Formats: sequence, structure tokens, C-alpha cells
Amino acid sequence: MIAHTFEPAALELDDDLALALDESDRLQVQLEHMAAANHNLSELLLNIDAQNDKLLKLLVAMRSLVESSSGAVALRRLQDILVTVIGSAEFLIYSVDNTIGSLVPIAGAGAAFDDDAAVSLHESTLGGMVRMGEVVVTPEHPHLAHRDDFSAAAVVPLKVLDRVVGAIVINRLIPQRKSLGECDRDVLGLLGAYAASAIITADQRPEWNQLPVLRR
Amino acid sequence: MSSKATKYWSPRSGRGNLLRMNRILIVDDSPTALMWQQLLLRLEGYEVLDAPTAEDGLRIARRERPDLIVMDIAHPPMAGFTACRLLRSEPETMDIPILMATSLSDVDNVIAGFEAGCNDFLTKPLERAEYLGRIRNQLSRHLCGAA
Repeated sequence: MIAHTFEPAALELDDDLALALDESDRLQVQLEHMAAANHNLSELLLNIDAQNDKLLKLLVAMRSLVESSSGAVALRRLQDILVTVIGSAEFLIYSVDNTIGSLVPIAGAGAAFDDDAAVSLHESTLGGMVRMGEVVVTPEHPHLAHRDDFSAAAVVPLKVLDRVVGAIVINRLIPQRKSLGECDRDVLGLLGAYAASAIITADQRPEWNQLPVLRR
Repeated sequence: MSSKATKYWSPRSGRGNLLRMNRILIVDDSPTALMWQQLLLRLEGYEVLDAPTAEDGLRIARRERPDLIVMDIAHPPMAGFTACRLLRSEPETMDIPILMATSLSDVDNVIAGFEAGCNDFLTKPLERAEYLGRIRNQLSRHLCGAA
């Protein structure tokens, strides 16, 4: 008799327990989804932070270039930027010489600078890459990374509007810089455009100095 | 080179804060690295002094006694190590934390830096989060008397 009176209540408790366990499982799954979303957001935040850092460095680099008092100073600053901002260990900066159809090395650092021979603009892999006018970062273009006649971590055309006036070839990065990524490609593209303008316009400083000074 | 510190208040430093801002001396011959560090530190509310050579850095450190020194050791490495040893040997500057920044990340340079008396190393190219983290860490240790 006593068992009969308790049976419905026990069944009710079992149902409640089952519901609670189901709810617990559901919450557990929800929690796992939230943890995964949180992880993704953390990665995104870190990525954005890294990109912000690169853009801040680019801003500083631009200011440094714009303040150059001559083309030679702008070129030295570009070398400094390639080392301190990009992390290049070996690089060459070329100027386009249209009279001989070649890329002529004008500055550089590391062992690569010893190789000071001009490179044909029309009959070499590098010349072809420079004429394309686009930044090439080799992880994105592995087929261009190690040709028989050429290998580099990145090739950056120096462009003034739609004209290519030179190129930066980064042969090797410092050991702590593993590779260049998509954000680096954008930064290098902007750097190439600003550096070309800065090198050319810095040589016109003497003319600027003749302009009247604005009085406030 | 400008030994004159520029004061810059940021929301983080708290406008009207009566406490003195932490003063950091940057010694670096790279104009780009110097400019980036100045911008970053001023945005974080620090007072910044700068010097392009180890000799200038020594002179400013003796005169201004900054709370921390970030010293590049790239050109030439011995100048940075010698400056570090000199700073450690003089009573006015021996307690100032020194962070050495270098793209020369090989073990020999790191060991030479620690033997010269630097507190920590930063590897170039400098990254914002690591740079500020190490600076805060050294400053808090220094201000707590643990440096």
C-alpha cells in the first residue's frame, strides 16, 4: 500500500531528473559553442592588434620618409625601415634605368648587396615581376619563390602613380621573422608607393625652399 | 637628438594626474625605431627622452635619471654593452632598469648583454604588445624595489 502511494512521486522525480540532465547537456553544448566562439574572437582580436601594430609602424615609416631632406636621405631611411619595421636581413633596392632597360642596384644590405650587377627588365624573372607592378610575397606565390635565376622573400615595385621607377627585393628575413603574410603584403605595397614618391620629391627640396613660408 | 622631454597626456595616464609620469630614455640610432617608440610610449602616457648614440644616452641618463632605459645595441654592439656596464658602475644610475633591444638575437649577444648588466632583452623588429609588456614589467619591479 505504501509503495503504491510513493510510485507516482518517484516517477515524477525521475522525469524531473531526466529533464534536468537534458538541460544540463544542452547547456554544456551551448557552453562549448561559446568557448569556441570566444576562442575565435580572441584570435581575431590578436590578429587585429597585430595589424594595428603594423599600420602604426607604417605610419611612422611614412613620416620618416616624408621628412627626408634629400633623395639620398630618403633612401637611407628606406633601408632603415626595411630592417627595423619589416625585419629584412638581406635586401637590394633597384632603380629602373629605361635607357638600358635594366634594374640597377642603388642600395642594399647583407650579402646580397655584393651582387651589384644590373638585371634586365625584359629578360629576367625579377624584371617580369617588377613590370607587373604588384607586390609579390613568395609564400603566396611559391612558383615564383625559387626559379633557376631568382629567389626572394618578397619583391616590391617602387611606383609613382602607374609608373614603376624601381623595386625592393627582400632576399632574406631576420631569423625571428618566419615569413611575410597578407598584412605584410599590404604594408609593403603602401611602403613601395610612399618610398618612391619620397625619394623623388625629396630631391626637389631646394625648389620647395624657395616657396614663401606661410605665416599664421 | 633631443634631451628635452615632451609631456603628453593620454586618457590612460589620466589628465590632471598629480603623480609624475614614468620617464623612459630610448637610445637608438634608427630614426624609424626611435620615432615608433616615442609615439607608442607617449600614447601610453610615459614621458620620453631620446638619444641617437650610446654616448648621448649615458650623458642624458646621468643628468635626467630616467625610470627605465631602452637601449639598442646594434651599431656597434660594444658601445651598448660598454654603456650598460658604465651605467651599472655609477651610483646615480646603477638601479635604473635597462632593456636591450637588438636584432642580433644570437645567444652570445644575449649572454654578453646580461653580463653587462641589462635586465631584459627585446628582439627587433619590436612588437607593440611585447614591448609595452616588458616595459611595464620592469617598471613595476623597479618601483616595488625588486629590480
